[in-house]
Amino acid sequence: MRMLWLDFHLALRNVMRQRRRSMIAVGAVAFGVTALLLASGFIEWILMDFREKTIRSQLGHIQVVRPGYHDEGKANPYAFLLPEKVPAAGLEDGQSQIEAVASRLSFSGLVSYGDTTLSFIGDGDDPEAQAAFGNSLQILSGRNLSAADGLGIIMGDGLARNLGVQVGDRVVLMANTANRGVNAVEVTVRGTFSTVTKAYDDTALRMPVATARQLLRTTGSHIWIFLLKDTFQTDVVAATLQNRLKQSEFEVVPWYRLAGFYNKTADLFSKQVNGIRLIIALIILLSISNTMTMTVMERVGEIGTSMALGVKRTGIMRLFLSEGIMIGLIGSLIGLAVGVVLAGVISRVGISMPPPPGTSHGYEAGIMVSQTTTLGSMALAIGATVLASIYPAWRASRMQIVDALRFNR
Amino acid sequence: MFKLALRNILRQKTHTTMTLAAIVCGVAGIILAGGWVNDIYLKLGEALIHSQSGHLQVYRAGFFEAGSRSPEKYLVSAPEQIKQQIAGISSVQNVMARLNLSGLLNNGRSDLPIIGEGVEPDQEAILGTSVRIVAGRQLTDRDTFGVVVGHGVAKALKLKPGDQVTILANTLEGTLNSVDLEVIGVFQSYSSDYDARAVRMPLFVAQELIGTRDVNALVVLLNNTKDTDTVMVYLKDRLTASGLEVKAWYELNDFYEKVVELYKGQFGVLQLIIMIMVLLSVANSVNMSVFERTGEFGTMMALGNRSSHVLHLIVTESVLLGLIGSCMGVMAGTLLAMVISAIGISMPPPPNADLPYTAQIQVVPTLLAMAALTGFLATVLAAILPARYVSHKSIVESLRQNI
Repeated sequence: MRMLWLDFHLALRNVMRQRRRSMIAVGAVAFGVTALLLASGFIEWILMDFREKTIRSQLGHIQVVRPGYHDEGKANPYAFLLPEKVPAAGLEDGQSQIEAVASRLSFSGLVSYGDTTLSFIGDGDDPEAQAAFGNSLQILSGRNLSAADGLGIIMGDGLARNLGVQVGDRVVLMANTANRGVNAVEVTVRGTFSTVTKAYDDTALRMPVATARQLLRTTGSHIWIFLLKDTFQTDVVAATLQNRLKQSEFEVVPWYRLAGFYNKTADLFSKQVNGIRLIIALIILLSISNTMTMTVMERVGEIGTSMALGVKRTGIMRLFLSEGIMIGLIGSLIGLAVGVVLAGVISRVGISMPPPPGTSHGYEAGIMVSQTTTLGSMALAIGATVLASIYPAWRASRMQIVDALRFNR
Repeated sequence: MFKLALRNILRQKTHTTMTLAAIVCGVAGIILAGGWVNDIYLKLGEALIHSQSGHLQVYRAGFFEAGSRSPEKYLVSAPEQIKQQIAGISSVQNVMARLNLSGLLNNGRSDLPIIGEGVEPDQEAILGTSVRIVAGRQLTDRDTFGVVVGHGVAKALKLKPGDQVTILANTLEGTLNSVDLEVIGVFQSYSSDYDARAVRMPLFVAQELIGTRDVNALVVLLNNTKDTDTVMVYLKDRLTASGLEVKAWYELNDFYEKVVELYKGQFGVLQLIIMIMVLLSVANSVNMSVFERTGEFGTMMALGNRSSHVLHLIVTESVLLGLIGSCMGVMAGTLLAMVISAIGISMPPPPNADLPYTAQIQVVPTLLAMAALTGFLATVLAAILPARYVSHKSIVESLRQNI
């Protein structure tokens, strides 16, 4: 223990003595940690942002449906109707975590304008609750749904073009009602929207849920969408909900089981950026080991002197290793501090990004510093520093004393 | 001067190796990162082409904009003739026809409204597919009366491979027609809305069902994606007069350009970080090797060399180092890129395709030049500051480092 302490004491004095060399080595480590922290933080931010956008724009954190709705509901919507209100028991303890609850009614029918009649798939949404979802649906013309305008609908861009309707035109919607009758309602097109899927835009329209219920002569809905305050609570809240609601009547589906597009995209994107992150890590590794090798090589004469004075080979080895650890620690701490400050500044300023597909607005990206990235970058930097000092230290300790001394001239 | 600089470089083996290593790593790093990102753009495009859209599609004018819901109004007549005309172009690999229809699918107990697509199965297999088969198998040319149905359709009508179904549709004359088919397979695409409605059948079955010999779209597959624009212009010249329109794959997948745009933003930030890393790491190395030689420069000045001479010498050395390093870096980067490309890195499929792809690293000439320039400039610029400092230091102090 004392030996170890002595080693570190000597190493620290060496580091302090060789001011310029140490500064350069510490600089290399610090740059590395900062760069890795910023790069990983940026990647993490993008993935986080993508996840939140997917959840907030369409899926919600948790969907409650009748068992089997997601598989068979599209074909037989009336067999899967939920009651009008969410049972109070289900909401009790989760309450503090839940930000908003919306209901959605999905159905299909026919839409007519002039002589043209086409089939559509429709969603009845709560305009007010949808507002809480941030509504990132891209509106191409006109306006989004509003609670005030019960008979205003929005339709997919492709459907509008197929029908030949403009914003402000009146169309007639027809659908089978819950009791096997046929009902129709005349509505006004308030706007058109577009998503990433052209096939969907060619057939979809959306209306306030109250209008949809009136059209279908029902009071129920198909999906209750829960928006939570914190995405990481999804599983906890989902478990409580499932406990509270009868399993035979309700199925609780967390967002990630529905997010096929998100899962695939996130999977691909993380593999793509990991390629870049690997390259950054390699450059850092090489730059650190480069500097460390250089600092040892410059001190061959000194090593010779120490050995001539009776320091053992293992002693030299230990000394240089301790110096490596010391430099790695100091450097990565400095890098960490700089990285965190820079991340904060950059996040505040924002990196402007072009609009992602299916939306019209660009956004400001930030940098998210998480525990894993921090620890990962530090571990990489310290590991690289120590590893990089092993080889030159080993070589230095194997030298002939006379040869080493010659470097002193 | 040049000779002196060169001899200095050769004498200082450790310093030279270290600095060169830093430059080479940096330049190679920039080349690899840039090549990787470029490959992503390229492969995303290829995946889209090969999973559904082909390079070009030929329609009756207006079909893409407003006809997808009433395909029977936008038929391309005499498809065989146009097909032969297109197939005659040397860079065209394959031409296939598709016909869309809507109708009712019946399993003997209940009906489901569906959107159907008539395809030429074997040719589609060459193109690739955006859908994954979850039960049964893909359609082939031998399945004369087979149909593959979407996952949602199969669930709704409780269908499995081997079941018999009937498709009911309006013919062009307005009468009803029906055809009995056997379910060959069940597919799943990334859009569950599509799966809940879609079925695919052989082209001639679809043609027979709605009573026509025409098609809605001719999909053109080229040998080389680069020829897309040339062929498109050529086809537009020939076909526009007969009321047809030609769409290229990037117009059919309009989100492609947005994705690339977004990726450029996202990867741009990472590439910037790499660039800064390279600058700093090279500067670090150069800095160190100049400062370590303070004593040597003191000696030179004590022997009567002017400080401007020393400055000159140091800068010349780094110009040489920068040149050698960048060249070696470009070579190393290109070589590595080729080796990695030869091995290939397997990637998951893009979001609306179902083919996993193999990533490679593209060697882009502009990128090579940029990387070399970055390495060179970083070396030279990094040398100037320490060179000035060392050459203006008092001789006595510099000499002290020799002890």
